[in-house]
Amino acid sequence: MAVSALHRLAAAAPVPVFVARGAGAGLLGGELAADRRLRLVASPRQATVVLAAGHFGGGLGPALDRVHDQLPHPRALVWWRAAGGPEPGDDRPGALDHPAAVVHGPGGDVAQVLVDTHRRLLAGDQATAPDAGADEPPHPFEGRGDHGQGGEGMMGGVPFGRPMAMTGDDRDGLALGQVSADLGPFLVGLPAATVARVTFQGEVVQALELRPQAVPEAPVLDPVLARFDEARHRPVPVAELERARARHHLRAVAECFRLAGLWALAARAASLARGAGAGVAGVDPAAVAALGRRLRASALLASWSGVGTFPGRSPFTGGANARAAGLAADARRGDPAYRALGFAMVVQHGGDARARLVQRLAEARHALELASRAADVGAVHHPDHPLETPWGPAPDGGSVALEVVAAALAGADWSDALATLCSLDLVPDAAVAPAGAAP
Amino acid sequence: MSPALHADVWAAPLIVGTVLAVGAYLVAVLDAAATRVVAGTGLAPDVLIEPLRRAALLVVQQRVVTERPDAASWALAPAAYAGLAAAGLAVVPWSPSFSVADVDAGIVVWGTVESLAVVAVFLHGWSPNSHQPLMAAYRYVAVGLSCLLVSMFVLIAVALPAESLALNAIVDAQAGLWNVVRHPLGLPLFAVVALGITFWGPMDLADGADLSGGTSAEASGSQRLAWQGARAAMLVSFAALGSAAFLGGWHGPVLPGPVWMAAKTAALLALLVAAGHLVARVRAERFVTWCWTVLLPLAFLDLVVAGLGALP
Amino acid sequence: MLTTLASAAVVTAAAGLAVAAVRLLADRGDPASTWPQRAPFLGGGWSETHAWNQYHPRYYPMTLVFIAFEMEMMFMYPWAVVFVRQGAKALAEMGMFLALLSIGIVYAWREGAFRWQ
Repeated sequence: MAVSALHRLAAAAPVPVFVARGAGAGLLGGELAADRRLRLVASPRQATVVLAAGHFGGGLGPALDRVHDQLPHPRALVWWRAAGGPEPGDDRPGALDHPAAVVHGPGGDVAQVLVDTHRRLLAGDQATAPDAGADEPPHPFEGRGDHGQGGEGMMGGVPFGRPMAMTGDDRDGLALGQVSADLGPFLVGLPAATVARVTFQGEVVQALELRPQAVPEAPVLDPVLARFDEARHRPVPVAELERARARHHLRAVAECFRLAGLWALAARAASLARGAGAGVAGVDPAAVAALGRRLRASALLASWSGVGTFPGRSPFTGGANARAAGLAADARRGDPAYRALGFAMVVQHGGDARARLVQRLAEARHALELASRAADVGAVHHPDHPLETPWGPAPDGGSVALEVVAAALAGADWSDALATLCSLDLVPDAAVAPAGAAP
Repeated sequence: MSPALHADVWAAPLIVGTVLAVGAYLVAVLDAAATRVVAGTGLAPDVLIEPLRRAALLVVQQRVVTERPDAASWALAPAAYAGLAAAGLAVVPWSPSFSVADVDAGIVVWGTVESLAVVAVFLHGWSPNSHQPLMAAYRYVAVGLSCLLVSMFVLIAVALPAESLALNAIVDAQAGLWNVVRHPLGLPLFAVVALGITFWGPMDLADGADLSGGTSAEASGSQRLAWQGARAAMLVSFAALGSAAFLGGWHGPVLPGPVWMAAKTAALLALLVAAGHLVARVRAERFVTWCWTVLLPLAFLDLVVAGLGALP
Repeated sequence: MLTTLASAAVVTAAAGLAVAAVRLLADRGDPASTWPQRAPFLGGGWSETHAWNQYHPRYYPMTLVFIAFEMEMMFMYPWAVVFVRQGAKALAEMGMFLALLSIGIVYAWREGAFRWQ
């Protein structure tokens, strides 16, 4: 393929990357938004490279295949796997045979690999990846039916490969179209490795079911997850724990910004998250405070106030979600190392998406302040003291059954439902449950 | 056909096309610059060539179709949207003696442009036969219709002192005092409805991130390039209309008229593009309610103020 | 310059053709989309049915109020042109018209026409 001037120009463009997060990947990948050479995109139709971060066993493998096939040519896949974990072919029988770049461990230079892949694709040095699925319509339809299009009568059969949606009753007395679909797991706002089975009427969710797809005991790629797993079994410096916590909360805030269309602010939050993970120098809490000011100025809080409240008392018993509803529960209060640092709990009131967003940012800032104090003193967290992960107190996580969340979202707009799920930052139990360990 | 008419038939599209092309490039540069500044990744000269690189990538990429799209409408939507932007720009005056289409009822042309723009955006979301674009299209129509109404009241208020619906006369009537000072509510309301109808920034309900890019979720390659270009063109046309109707058009000391028009258009563009990166997307239902219960009464107030001011 | 509506029409057609030309030139040499590529994007998910359905737009009561206001706008176009000549009488007439329609908005608001859920 001759390399024209257009191809050379296109090779220098910011690489559009679609991030597909599997199991054990937490909120990894969002930090790439801070890199100027990359552009994280919402739809694979814009992307040239799909970054498959984590482990893709179970239902995640077919989902990754579907998304991979939806990219336009020229395209490539880059794997980001846990160091020492299984190779890409092992967790997905029938995995893509086309050679793809693999980055091992959270420390790998993913950004450089993505940029190189894009350049090679457009220079013609790397062939575009073929489809993972078979080239067939969802249902065979050619030549069948009244006009050869597969349909029967008014709305029957499988015209052009799929049936038409039928009607169903709704609250306001009209019987209009009812569409059922499995959305996710690679949508912005959905919990990690979770598929949402939704029944829509218009844009309103009539019924929602959240189905985790993660395989238990998947290898962990996200350094935040790994750090908190480690803290359950070994003494860990408080400074590192708190920096990991700040990093996670900043990543969650970046996801919320991304959902709200504030790409640039999401990139800013992502660069703060990356800084929080960088090392002893870390990030100045004042920078997080500045981000909080921009959050207030962006009217995102006004937009999300009143969204995502739970009827009656909040079902959360621990974690940032509970503290955002006014419940003063934090496992760090029971840890003498934290008490010695002067730990003070941060609590919001309201229990809506707005309160949760403010809570996460406040906790990120507080965690950075604790980290700098702990680094001076050299405080250490011992495994026999209670541990507070970013999702709640270990080991049960303080989380709530996904059915409760799904039931509360029935009747909401889809965009409100996504905003609620994004602000809740739910993690499937497999990630925080002890791997067969005795209490 | 007379030779003069022959020349005009070629010159009109050339002028409008040049303005829209330069304007669309400017929108892309401003967008890239605003992203870098707000994200803190540092402003650099390569922000000038980044839009060209991204456009080249879209030209090179394959255009993927969905299973059973409405191919004709999908192709028509960006063309119609760009055509409407061009029609709107054609009626905007650039100097006391020159506008591409000196129409007696330029405000009515703009009413048509805005209404049909809502249809074009809806078509773009309906055509791919995919769930997320469809939801985005329907959601956008509610916001588009509400903003349409407010924009028409605001533009009619501007026509009152000029005693004419022609944009030329409206600019002439601002010789003493610009409309942004005479009816202060006008420009803020106009900025909100411009963002709403062009679904930019806070009102990006048609191409929003919560629906994976909304109506553009299935658009790739040349389809995407055409749509982004048409969106930028519409933003430029709205900015030009705003400059003519509120910022005094070609009035200004020292420099010639077209230069002032270009400067004011660029300033409005910068404002609209910056809003996209600093203000979060609104909730559709809440915005529609707010539009009907707050913005529309404010538009009535603007009309009354304009009317009282215009009476001798 | 062309001083009639024809120039707006010419310009519209030209812009439409330009967009079509961009599309045709850029699509040269594109491979045909395969069936897996054509599946609708649902974040890796799957839908059994086509997307086109008897969609339930929640804002249909609002559109009825919108039509009423569109008719008022039709009235206001010529009104704006003769307003200064007619003087305060025209302002009073318009005020009455707007007040009547505003009662319509308040009624619609109270009846929940703007609430989608």
